[in-house]
Amino acid sequence: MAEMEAEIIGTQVPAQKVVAGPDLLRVALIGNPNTGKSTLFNALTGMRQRVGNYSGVTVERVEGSYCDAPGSVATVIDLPGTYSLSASSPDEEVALAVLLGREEGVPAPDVVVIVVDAQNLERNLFLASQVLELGLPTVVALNQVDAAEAAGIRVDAVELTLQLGAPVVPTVATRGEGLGVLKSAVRRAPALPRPGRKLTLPADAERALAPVEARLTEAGLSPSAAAMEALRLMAVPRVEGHLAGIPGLQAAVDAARESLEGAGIHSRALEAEARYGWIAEVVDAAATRVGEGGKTLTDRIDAVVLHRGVGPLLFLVLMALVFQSIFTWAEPVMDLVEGGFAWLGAAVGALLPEGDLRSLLVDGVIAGVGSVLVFLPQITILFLFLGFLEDTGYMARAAFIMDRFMRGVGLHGRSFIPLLSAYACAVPAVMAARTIESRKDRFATIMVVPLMSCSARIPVYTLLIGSFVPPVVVGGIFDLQGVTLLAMYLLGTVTALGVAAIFKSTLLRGQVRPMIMELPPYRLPRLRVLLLTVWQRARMFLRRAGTVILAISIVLWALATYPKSTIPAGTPEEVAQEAQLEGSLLGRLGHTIEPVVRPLGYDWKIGVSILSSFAAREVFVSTMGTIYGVGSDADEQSTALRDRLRAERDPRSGRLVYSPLIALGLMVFYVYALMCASTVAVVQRETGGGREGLGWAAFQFGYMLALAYGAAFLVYRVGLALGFGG
Amino acid sequence: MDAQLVQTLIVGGALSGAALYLGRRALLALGVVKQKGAGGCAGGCGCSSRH
Repeated sequence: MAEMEAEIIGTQVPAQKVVAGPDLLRVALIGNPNTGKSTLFNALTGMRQRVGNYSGVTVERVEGSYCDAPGSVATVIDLPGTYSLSASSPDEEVALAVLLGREEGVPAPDVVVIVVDAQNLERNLFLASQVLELGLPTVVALNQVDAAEAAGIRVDAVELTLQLGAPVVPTVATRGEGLGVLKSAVRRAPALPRPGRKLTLPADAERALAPVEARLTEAGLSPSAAAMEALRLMAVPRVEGHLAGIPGLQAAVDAARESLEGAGIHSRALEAEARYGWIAEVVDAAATRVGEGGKTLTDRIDAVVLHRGVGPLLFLVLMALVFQSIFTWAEPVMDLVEGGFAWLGAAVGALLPEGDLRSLLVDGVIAGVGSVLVFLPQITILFLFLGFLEDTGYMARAAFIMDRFMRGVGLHGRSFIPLLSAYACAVPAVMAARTIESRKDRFATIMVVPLMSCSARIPVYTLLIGSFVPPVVVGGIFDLQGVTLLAMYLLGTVTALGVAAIFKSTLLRGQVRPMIMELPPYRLPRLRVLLLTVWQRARMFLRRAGTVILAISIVLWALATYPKSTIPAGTPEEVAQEAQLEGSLLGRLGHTIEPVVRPLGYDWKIGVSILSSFAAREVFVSTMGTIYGVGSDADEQSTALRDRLRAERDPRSGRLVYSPLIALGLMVFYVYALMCASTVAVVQRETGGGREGLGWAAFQFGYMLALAYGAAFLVYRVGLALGFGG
Repeated sequence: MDAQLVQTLIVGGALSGAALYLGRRALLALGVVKQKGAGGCAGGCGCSSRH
């Protein structure tokens, strides 16, 4: 440790010779980063400062002094800026140890000054509530009150004093305002009643923490400091730092945690919940937002975007426009890609002699992979829009808007991020659920994440919508295709919330915890970053098409081609191809499972496509491409899968196989069914692995399949009953 | 070698390759085998790790 010196009004006095007495106060200054704490320290001590390090760590130790009356001197120690006393970083550990008088070579302070930024009262009061509980004479410097006023935030210092149980002095450190009053309050603080715990804990929590408090009191902590420390220790992984040597403390902490969990209280979140609950009440009582003056552009936009009524509506309209643009903007590019694959198929077909190799390349690889690749424009546009909304800062607002609904169904606000990521893919979304501390909340989130429509569903949705939903205008500005796509996304989202509500009230019952989040200011996205994100998504899609989809297309082609059937000479080509397909392994498999899918209105070809897509959803489209490729007439004019689906007829009855009702039922099936081997594998791992994980993954797969089948059945049967069968 | 045999060999090779690839993916997904540097990802459609 560097030797410290206290300087008294121009006369340097070695620190070790300064003895605390009636006229010498030791003051510790603590606060969040960026609260103006150091400015206040400089304003109080002027140039009378010394800088060194705390022993054993590289945390800077800054001390100084000031004189508030002749012979009345205060030494001030500027503690590192910290958001809490959780002691999870060296800075926090040092700050806590100094306040408790447990830092080697640093005497315990006589008075603590907490610097609170009046503009960010909620966030700053977390640390303040911890410090107040230590029971030391405390003064609160309510700093930057001028900036708060300009932003329309008015804090009632008297009310805040009553709420906190410690004097609150408004200051503007940059201009030296309020310093005289602050010094006077510091001088009087030791004579005032000590502050203490203001928040209340559940009775079960008080009981569970009592043995920990007893250990800490035995180790020399004051009862109030012991209470604060006991609560804090519930949120830290291990007893470390200045409390590490206390015998039996770790065991007492472990026992308290078990006891809390047994009572249904999440031990790690107990402190945050209790403090933020109390803070909300304090802010409500002491702070008001006045007028419109000083509002930033972000504030003005948020007034609309985060409005309780307008906000969700705006969110829906924005999403509707995004989904609509997927069709209107992507259509020309999609036609180009489709045309490109048709040309490629024809060119390869013309180059090679008739035989299995030509069929494999044209009907298997080009038809299978090509039918999926034509959806690249849609996926690119979707991610371009989502990336744009995220980079502008809107998605954080969407999380805020959704939090209300999330809490309504018993999900933690943090669940929104996994659920939002699931629009891209369920695999990283399931992994993102790791940030949710409560096991029950985490499992409930994982169980519903695959209900959110991922990008692999886009080819299925857009193939069916593009084929069977007419592009008619609805509501003046929207078209029916975009609205249908939005409806599929909403159906998945609403169902996810509903299912989560069921899980949270049955299998995974638990408390709802509040979410604290900071909304970033709105900004213009950087084009390069945006395009890079889109490119990464597009590359993933392309790689998947070039690996898994390609391999499955080849295998499916083989299943649809072998064994070769003996077709009598003179049989019309169309009939011969159908007979070949029906006699193939795929055809036989399809007919075997046909009774299962028949109640949903599907033929064996749809059944086989569903079956093959259990590995990955978009394989449905590539299977369709392969089946209709193998079964196609060589002279057929249109090679587009959409045209083939629209023209497909039952060879026996001659009736059209597909109808808008069948397409709707299929889409609903794909909204709900968990047809993704990667997701099943990651869920198994993230829910504990081994047999437990396997159980959860199997349960999820089962309930989603049941939901998919039931919903598709209901859509088809109700549609038929209402006369939409044709 | 006649053209028919060449075609058969190519088709057979492509089919075996595809089947082997899918089999390996299935084993990876089930955790029966581990991929070098996989970083714990099951390789879903949105995974950005380079495997």
